[in-house]
Amino acid sequence: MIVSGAEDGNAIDRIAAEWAGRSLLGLAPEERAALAAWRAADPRHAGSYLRAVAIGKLAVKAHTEDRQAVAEPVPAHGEAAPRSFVLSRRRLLGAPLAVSLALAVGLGVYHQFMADRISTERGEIRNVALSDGSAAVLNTVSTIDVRMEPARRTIDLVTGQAWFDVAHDPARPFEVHHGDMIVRATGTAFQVSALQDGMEVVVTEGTVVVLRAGGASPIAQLRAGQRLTVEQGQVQQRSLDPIHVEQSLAWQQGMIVLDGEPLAAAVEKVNRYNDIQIEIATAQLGSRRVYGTFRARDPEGLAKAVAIALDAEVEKTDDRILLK
Amino acid sequence: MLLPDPDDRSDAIAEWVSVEILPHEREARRWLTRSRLPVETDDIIQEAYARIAALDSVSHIRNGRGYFLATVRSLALQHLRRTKIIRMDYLADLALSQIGDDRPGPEAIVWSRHEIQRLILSLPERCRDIFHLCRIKGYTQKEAAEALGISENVVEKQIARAMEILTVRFSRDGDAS
Repeated sequence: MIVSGAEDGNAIDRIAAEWAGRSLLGLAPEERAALAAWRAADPRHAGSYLRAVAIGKLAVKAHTEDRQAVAEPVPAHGEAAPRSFVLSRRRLLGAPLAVSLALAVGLGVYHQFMADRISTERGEIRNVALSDGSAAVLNTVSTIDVRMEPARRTIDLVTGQAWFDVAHDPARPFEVHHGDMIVRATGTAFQVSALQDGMEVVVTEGTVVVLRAGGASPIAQLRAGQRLTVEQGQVQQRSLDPIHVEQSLAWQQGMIVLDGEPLAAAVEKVNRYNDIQIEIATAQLGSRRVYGTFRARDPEGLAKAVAIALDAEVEKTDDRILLK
Repeated sequence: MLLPDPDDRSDAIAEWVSVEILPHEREARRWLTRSRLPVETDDIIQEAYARIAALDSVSHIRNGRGYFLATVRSLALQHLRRTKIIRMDYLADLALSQIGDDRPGPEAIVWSRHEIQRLILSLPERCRDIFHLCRIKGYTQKEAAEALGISENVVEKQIARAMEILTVRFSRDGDAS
């Protein structure tokens, strides 16, 4: 990461935050002038200040909505609450605590939502921000069910493939379930793929534990750069080269990396992304091995490359491409 | 004076930003990180906000997310052209074309509310209480100081601290990039 010579972004955000805090409390005319001068000194200052003020507003909004979610109005909390009133100090000190508790209850209410289903269509790759701060990226034709509960976070990988970047929260394990297998993490990044009769896990950051549903002890622990497959009950674990880790994530950029697999398997991969399906005329052609990086949404490009590399012919109709 | 107060204008823009832009900042940051472009994420994000700050009005912007992501992308390209590095690997190339291609979901807005609540809960207790009185309940600095039996100076410091924690951590995914 290149660090720019002058002020670093964090430092600017800190100063902007201080200004936003002060203007929240009300600025004297000379402070106003000083703020204007600071904002004018660098476009990043103006941007960072706008962001800080907006974050302050977001805090009020999130709070107000939360109050609605709790649906248990507390008197004297209306938005237009009178300013000039006298309260005992004890009551006042209690008030913020009550608000914090209400916030906590509000979060609880939120988490009781039923599972949220998220799916992608053919050719779609989708980034999803999960409510706990984690992120998921779904590959083409994939479905997950997300269930956020107070004590745990559960994702069912119904079909396909998804990568997860888990927000750190040791108190709420993050589990991905597929079949009778469970991948458990607290704060880490990993990818889970449904296989024909099993599952594949690739860890890109941190560690995860793999369990069998109902099983007491883990069947494996994986570190960053490791891959585990369970196929027909057989468990295999191995370390990957950094390049292979990259390759297994390339789909997030819309790429497919072919690393010497038979053309038939490669075509099956590409066909998952496109309405136009590639077909291979002979088993002999299907068994030829292919290498290279291809755009998943460009079946014609792949077909042309294969035709050149393997000396095959391409025959194209409206909804399919035949390789022979 | 008949001209609109510049503070009113920027307040309206900040209001709009809090709903239309902040929820998508994380997506922009992640895209920048993933693209592996040799550019400084914080600079680009701040400059993107600066573009909005410079607008007279935001009423012509239909899709805040699209606008913000496109701005981030064009700023990233500008920064990139300023660096001496010519070669980009295909990932960067591709990621550039992909920003904003995902369908926007209500998740981003829910997430942003959730994120700010989480950050408020993470504030030190005293800091959080003072922030609540001033920001949420609308107390003045003086009222808050009297109510809590502390000096106005302490109120100001704690508000600055709360804002600092919220702004530095918001959307930054744990450790700053």
